[in-house]
Order: sequence, then structure tokens, then C-alpha cells
Amino acid sequence: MRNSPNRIVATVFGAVYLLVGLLGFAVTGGVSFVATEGGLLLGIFAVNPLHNIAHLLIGAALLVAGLMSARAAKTVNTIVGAAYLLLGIVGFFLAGTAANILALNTPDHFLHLASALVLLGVGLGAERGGRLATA
Amino acid sequence: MLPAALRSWPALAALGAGLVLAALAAGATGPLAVGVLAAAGLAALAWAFAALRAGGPVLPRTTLAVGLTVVVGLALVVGAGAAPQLGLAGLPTIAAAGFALVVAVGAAARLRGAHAPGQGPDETRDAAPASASPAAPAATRTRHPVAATLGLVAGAALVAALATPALAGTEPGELAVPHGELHQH
Repeated sequence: MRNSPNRIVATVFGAVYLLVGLLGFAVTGGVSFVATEGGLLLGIFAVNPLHNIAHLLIGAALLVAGLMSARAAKTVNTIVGAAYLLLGIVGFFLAGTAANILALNTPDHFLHLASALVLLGVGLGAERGGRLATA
Repeated sequence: MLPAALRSWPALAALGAGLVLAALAAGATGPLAVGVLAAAGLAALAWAFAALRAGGPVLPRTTLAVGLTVVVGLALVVGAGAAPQLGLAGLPTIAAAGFALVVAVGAAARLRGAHAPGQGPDETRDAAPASASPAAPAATRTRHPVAATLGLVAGAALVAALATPALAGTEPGELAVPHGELHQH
């Protein structure tokens, strides 16, 4: 674990996202599933129940992969990081349509973008060429 | 050659540039502006992926030339007052130029490292991983992994801190609907 940047990042980010997903339900009581006006987690992060579930799923995937192996962590880090970025880019061209679910000016999206960059960076950049830590 | 903590920053900046340029393209006026910005954005993203996989800037000569061209081009657009006609907001345009400048600096540092004794400056070698050398079979191993990971986290935070408001300032950002955001009118 200590020798693998991918496992460390996946485990830490997974735990944080899982915690954020669980805590999110404490501030979204009575909020509809995809409400555009929800609750503020820690007074900063805007969440609705759909958002909480997305955080839970991503957190669980990262945490399990981080605890499992370096190869799994590297794969999940890369997939989650790339998916965040790709969804963001596709979202730019859906702006103004009913399919647009982006909101780019909240602390949420700073967290999402920073997470995506770290996950993609460590997934692609660390432990390259099959040199994965086994401990 | 950049220190281990900073080695991922050009790739992270390229990701930021790619996102902001793509968002600018989506809101730009005229097919030429849309095409140029979208192509530049896609190139930045592709370069970022290649640089992350290689462990450092790839094709440094080309990258330096293209990066500086983007910086100068965007500066001219803003300086000439043509940004509003092209549908380009100020902050995202300046942010994209800033990210491109970081990419160019990374490429320049890579070129400078390639000119160090015992290393050639040719593009073929430059395209190899930054840590590669004939006597280093562990070329794909991350040097100074703790510093590199902390540098990655810090770089990602900086890029996100600039890219988030820059994206919000683009047309797609202004059209974006909130989800889960608490409005206090």
C-alpha cells in the first residue's frame, strides 16, 4: 500500500467520497432526487440525493480498488478521472439543452475537477509499464 | 529538467487548457474560431494524456512552438479587442493562455534537460519517458514518488482553482443549470 501512489490516492479519495456521500444524506432530507436546489454539505458543497449516490458509488469503487491491488487502483483511478473529464467536455456542448446537468460555478466542481486531475494523473502517470507495487 | 514535484504540472496545465479551450470553442462565434479552438483543445488533451503516460513532456520542440503560438495568438486576440466579436470571454481566454504558457515552459525545460551532457536533443529521444536513459532499465519507475504525488495533488488543485472560474465564465458555463445548488435570492 505505502509503495503504490495509485493505492494511496484511490483509498484516500474513495474514503473521502464515501464520507461525503453518506454525510450528504444528512442535509438532503425532503429534497427531491434530482432537485436543482438542494442542501449544502459543510456549508459549502451543494448536493442532492442523486449527487449523494454518485459520490457513494465512486467512493466505493475507489476504496475497494485501493484496498484490493495496485493494478485495480490504477485502472479505477484512470477510468474515474477520464470519465469526469469526458463528461465535462461533452457537457460543454450540451449547455442550453435539456440534457445539460452541469453546474460549473460551485465548490463542488472545484472538488470534481481537482479529483479528476489527480486520479487521471496518478492513474496514467504513476507505476507505468506494469511496474506495480505488490505490497 | 523539472523537479519531481513539478514534473506533472505541464500535463495538468494541458488538461486545464484542453478543457477551457473546448468550452471556449463551444461558445465561440464563427466556424474558424470554433474549429481552431476545438482543435487546440483536443490537441492539448491528447498531449496531456501522452505526457502523463510518458512521465514528462513529449515532442518538446513542437510543443514549445505550438504552446507559444497559442499564447501569442490569444494575447493578440485579447489585445486587439477582438475577443467579444469571437464570443470569447476575458478570464477563460487569459486562463487558457496561462495554461499554454506552463505547457511551453515544461517543454522548454525538457529540451534544456535533453541538452545536458550525455543526452541528445533529437525528437525521438525527447518522445521517450522523461526519466529514460540507456542505463536506466527502471525508466518507468516514478522517481521520488512522495514528492511526485504531493506535487500532483498541489498542481491539480491549482489548475482546478483557475479552470473552475474560467469554465464558469465561458458561454457553456453561463448556460449551465445548477444541480443541488442552494439559491438564496
